[in-house]
Formats: sequence, C-alpha cells, structure tokens
Amino acid sequence: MKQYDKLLKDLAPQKFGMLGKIWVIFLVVIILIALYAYYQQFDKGLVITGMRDYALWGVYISNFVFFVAISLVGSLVTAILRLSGVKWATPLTRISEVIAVAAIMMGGLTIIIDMGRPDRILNIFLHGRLQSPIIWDVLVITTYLLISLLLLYYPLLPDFAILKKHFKNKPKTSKWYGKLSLNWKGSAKQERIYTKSIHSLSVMIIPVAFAIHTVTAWLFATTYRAGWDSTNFGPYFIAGAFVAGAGAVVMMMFILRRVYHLEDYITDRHFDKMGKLLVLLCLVYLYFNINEYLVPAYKYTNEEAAHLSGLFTGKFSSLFWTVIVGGLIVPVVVLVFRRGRKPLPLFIMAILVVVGAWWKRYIIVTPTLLHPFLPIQGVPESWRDYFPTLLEWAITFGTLAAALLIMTILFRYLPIIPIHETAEERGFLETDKTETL
Amino acid sequence: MIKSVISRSKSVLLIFMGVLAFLGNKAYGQEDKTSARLTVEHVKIMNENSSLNIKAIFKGEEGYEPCENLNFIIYKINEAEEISEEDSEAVSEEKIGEVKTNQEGKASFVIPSQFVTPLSTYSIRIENSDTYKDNEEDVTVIDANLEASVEEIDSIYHIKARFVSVENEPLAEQTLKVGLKRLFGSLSIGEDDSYETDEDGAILVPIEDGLTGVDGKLTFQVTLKGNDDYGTIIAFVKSDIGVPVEDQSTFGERTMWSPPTKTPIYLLLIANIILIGIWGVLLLLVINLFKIYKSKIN
Repeated sequence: MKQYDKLLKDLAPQKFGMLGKIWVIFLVVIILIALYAYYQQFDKGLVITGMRDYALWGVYISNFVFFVAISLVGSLVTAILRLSGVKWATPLTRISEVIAVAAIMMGGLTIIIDMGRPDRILNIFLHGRLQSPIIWDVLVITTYLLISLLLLYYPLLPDFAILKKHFKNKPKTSKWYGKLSLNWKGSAKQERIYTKSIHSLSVMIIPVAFAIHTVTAWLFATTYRAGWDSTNFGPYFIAGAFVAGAGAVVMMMFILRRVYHLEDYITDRHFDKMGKLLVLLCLVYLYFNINEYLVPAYKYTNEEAAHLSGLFTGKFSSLFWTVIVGGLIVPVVVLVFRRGRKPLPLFIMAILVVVGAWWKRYIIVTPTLLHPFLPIQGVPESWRDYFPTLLEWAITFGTLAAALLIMTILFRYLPIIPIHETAEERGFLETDKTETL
Repeated sequence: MIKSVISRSKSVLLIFMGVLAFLGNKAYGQEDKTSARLTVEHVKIMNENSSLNIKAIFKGEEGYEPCENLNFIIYKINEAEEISEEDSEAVSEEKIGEVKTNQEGKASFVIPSQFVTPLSTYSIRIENSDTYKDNEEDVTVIDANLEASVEEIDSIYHIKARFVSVENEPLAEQTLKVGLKRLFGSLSIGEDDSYETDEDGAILVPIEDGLTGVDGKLTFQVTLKGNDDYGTIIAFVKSDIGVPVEDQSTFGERTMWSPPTKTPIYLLLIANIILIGIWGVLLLLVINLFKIYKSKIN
C-alpha cells in the first residue's frame, strides 16, 4: 500500500504554483487581447484582416487545419496504441486525450472566427447542403468532439473515484470528484460496461479521426486549384496530422514531467519510444510530401508552375524550405540517434516539428489562393498579396492560448497520468482492488 | 505735339491689340474643337430596312477614343437630273433625320423608306457641335436585292442566293458570304469563306448535316459585305432543317450541385446511415454512463 500511496500522492491533481499562476495569467491576457481584436472584427467585419477577394482563406483556416491535425493525436495514442496492446503508452493517453479535446474545441471555434457573419451560423444547419464538404466537416467535427470527450471521460471514472477518496479531507473537492465518478465502485458490472465502452470508443474514434482530417483535406482537394487538386490530399493531411500530434504530445510530456515531477512515470524510455514513433511519422509524411510536390513539378502545367515556383524559389521559398528541412528533415536526422531521443533534444525537435506543422498549413492554404486561374488584374494592390494583420495575429494567438488554457485547466483538475491504469499495470491493485477504490 | 503723337500711337496700339486679342480668341476657340473621324456603312437588310451605321472616333490622350453623344444630321442629296432637267448643275439636299452616338461612338440611322431610291447619296454631318469640328461624310449606294432560300437538291439542303439589281438584272462576279446566325456572330457555311456570283447572279452552297438550333430552327445569313457600289446587303433565311437542341439542364433534378432540398437520394442514404450508425453508438455510450451510475444504486 505504501507504493500505491506514493503513486496517488504523485499523480493526484496539484494546485498551481507561482509559475502556474503566472502562466494562466499570461494566457488570459493573450485571450483578452484576442477578444478585443475579435470585437473589432465582429464590429467592422473581415475587412480588418488581410484577407481579400483572392486570399479569402488566411491564417484562420491554416490555424483551423493545424488544430484538426493536432486533435488527431487522440486517436493515435489512445486508440491505435491501446488497441495494438502497446502498454508503454499508458502514461501518455491522458495527455493525448486532453490535447485532442482542447484542439478540436478550438478548431471548431476557429471556423466560427473565420466567418464574416457568425450570427448566421445557424444557417449552416438550416440550409446546409449535404453535397458540400463543408457540411461534412461540420458533422464530422461535432462527432469527433463528442467521441473525444467520451474517450477522455470514460477512463477518468475510476480515477475520479480514487480522487474522491484521496481528497476526503477536502469535502468540497471530494464531493465534486465523487459526482464526476458516477458512483464508480469498480463492480463487475461497472467494469464490464466500462471496458466495453472504452473498447467501442477506441475502435470508433479511428475511422472518425481519419474522416475528420480527410474531409478537411477534401475542403481543398475538391477544387481544381493548383496545389490542392490532388487525390493524395487526404492521406497527406493524415500523415501530417500524426506528425503534428505526436510532436505536441512530446512537448506536453516534457513540460508536464518537469512541472509536476513525473519522472517516475514519464521516463526516458517513453521519450525514446515517442522519438522513434516521431521519426517514423516524419518519414511517412516526407514520403507524402515528395508525392505531393514531385508529381506536379514533373508535369509542370502553367498553374502548377506558378504555384510551385512560388514555393521552391519564389516568395514562399524561405518559409517552405525552413518548414521541410527544419520541421521534418532535421528532426528525422536528430531523432535517428539514441542521444537525440533523450528528453531535452526530443523536446527541442518536437518544438521544431509543431512550429513547422503550423507554418506548413499556412503554405498549404495561402500560396494557392494567390495563384488563381485568371490573372489578377484591375484590383487594388492590397488584394494581390496576403499577410495576416496584427488583429488577425492577435486572434490567432488567442485561439492557441485558449487551447493551452483548456489543457492547463484540465491538467490542473485531472490526473495527468491515469492513476487506476498505472496502479493496475504496476500490480498495486492486485491485492484488494475494491478496498483501494 | 509729341504728346499727341504718343497718345494716338497708344490708342492705335490698344485698338490693334484689342483686334488681335479678339481674333486670337476666335482662332483659339476653333482650334479647341476636336476633329472626329467618321466611318459610315450603308446596310440594307432584305425585307426589313436600310440603315446608315455610323462610327465616330477622335484621337485622344490614350489613342483613338469613341465620340460619345455626338449628334449627326443626315441629309439626302438629290442629284440635278432628279430635280430639274433644265438646270443640270442644280443639287438640292433634304434633311431626313438626326442620330446620336452611344458610349462606343456608334449610331445607327434607319432610313425612312420614302428616301430609298435606286441611286441614293446621303450626307452625314456634324454641325455646330460644342466639342467637335464640323465634318461630313457622304455615302452613295446603288440599290440592289439579294434573294435567298433553302432548297433540297439530291437529298442535300443548299442555300441558294441570287443577287440582282432593282430592275431584276443579275449582278455577276460579286462576293457573297454565307453563314448561320448564332448568338454572337455568324458560323460559316460551306467549304469556302465566300462565294462569287455566276452570270445569273446566283450562288449555291451545300449545308452540312447536324447543325443544331432551338426546335430545329436555323437562320441563315447571306451577306454582301462593304461593296463599293451597293454597300452591305444582308438576306436572312429561316428554315426548320436543323437538329433540335436537347435541353440538358439538370434544373429540378437531384444532383451534387442542387439546393439542399434536392440532395441526391444515395447521398442522403449514405450520409444518414453513417450518421445514425455513429451517433447511435455514441448515444448508447452515453446511456452506458447512466448504467454505470445506476449500477451502484442497484
């Protein structure tokens, strides 16, 4: 029981320290600035952004695609690794589920932010055409959000019951955890329903997760635009999403391990495994990138030529090569070596991967829009180019801060490492499970 | 004395300068007006009317630009022999109407039928315009007729056209164009761009199969274009020998580009089966939460 008590002490939610409070204040300030910027946008319309007739999707849509990509990690770590019987991933499941929930919530919100008339959002549901991929995206995002919430909540039931008992000297907290545990006692019936439900969710989240990112890719690929008109786009997006999601998990692992002193639970072995996984995912994504750029570059039609020359040698080339080399090739090279998969180097590589993933979405969305089929003529100079305005940046950073705030709050009140599962895996519950609960 | 001379000289100088200034102003006013270039085409549409198509341009800062809202006065020039047999040099003119150019600098004046004669001369003039200098362009045309019809010869449809004078004399060696009237122009018919009339003033052009038209209706067009003597003469021939155009509109059908109420059935079925399937399972999973909650009470 001593070991179990230590585990409980280590893994039970802890109050924010000074650093935690500063972090929350910092995020809230960014969100408030973003709210002010959004008020400006709501009042004056999308004219406050850099978007015009040609670049009608900008940083908001890039950000949306990034959020959707990040959210896919829930299915990777929780479902795919769980169903594959990969036990080492247990301490990472909660982290990935929280990231998935926060990301998909903010992804949905970002789409509303991108709307010129958000007051008309109901019209999507009232008059939406089922033939449009945009409606498919709305449906699949809503579905994925619910699955992600359930997949976060179900494994928490035994943990809430444990926390109810753990915080018995804090009646109010204990009461809340008790309510959230849905009177979990670990009875055979409860265990049966619980196991079956988690298994169902794990199976179901995989096709829905694939659907959410494939449909997001179809928003682009169902057009004839250069750079988007590709049958490769669905798998290309999914491969990229796994890279971004795995990178985000590594970043969170490192930070949470440091802040909450979880070295006994998130070990170097976990970093090593995630490092290897990240290499594999980066290589798969590189393969899709080669497909995505080499084939049109070989054909070099006029439209593709304008688009690709912009990426390879033109205006977007520095960003493009930084993303490809810095966000994919360098991480692969570093992580191939065992030393590169140590926590700190892996954390640095993960930052490169995630930042690269964000900008990758930007160079997927924007350059194509600036190369329409008909030449841009007789329009104001500002329509010919796109770069986000300060207000757009403020709103975008606000959404990123909001996602981080959701994660911060969830990590504050939820056990970062699944207590019940970890105790079970380590054999701490074998002696008397019901008594422990 | 000297003062008187100086005073006179001053007066003369002032008068001289005043006259110069007056003349100068007048000269400057004339110079200020713009020269317009005129192009006039006499067009006769058989069994309809004859008109004068006018185009006016001027040399502006950015090249040639159309003369907008420029008023033209049209005169019919009556040659001497028509007026008086005694005075062979007498020429009279009669104003027959006015016309104003549009934004493209174009105007079309339909000649009243009473002014159409076997030999007609029209004078198109700019008079007293505030902007443009006075100018005129004369057009002389000999009236002629162009008869056209569709005839079936050896199971092949042909356009048969005959170009004759008002006295029904055939006009040989004249170039005619044959086309099919379409929305934005004329589609050439036959193998050649144009055909020359024979000694009977006639041409015969085979019509290829498969020409489409609304309800199979086709309007052919035989044209004598910009002839020095006869101007432009156009004859239209309507016929029902075309292949009827099939309406391929999908309006009202269930397609991928229809409104929400016309979603294809297969899409409705697939999407709803997937949605109901997934959301049904999700509902069961939410119910499972209640089951877990209630299992303790039981």
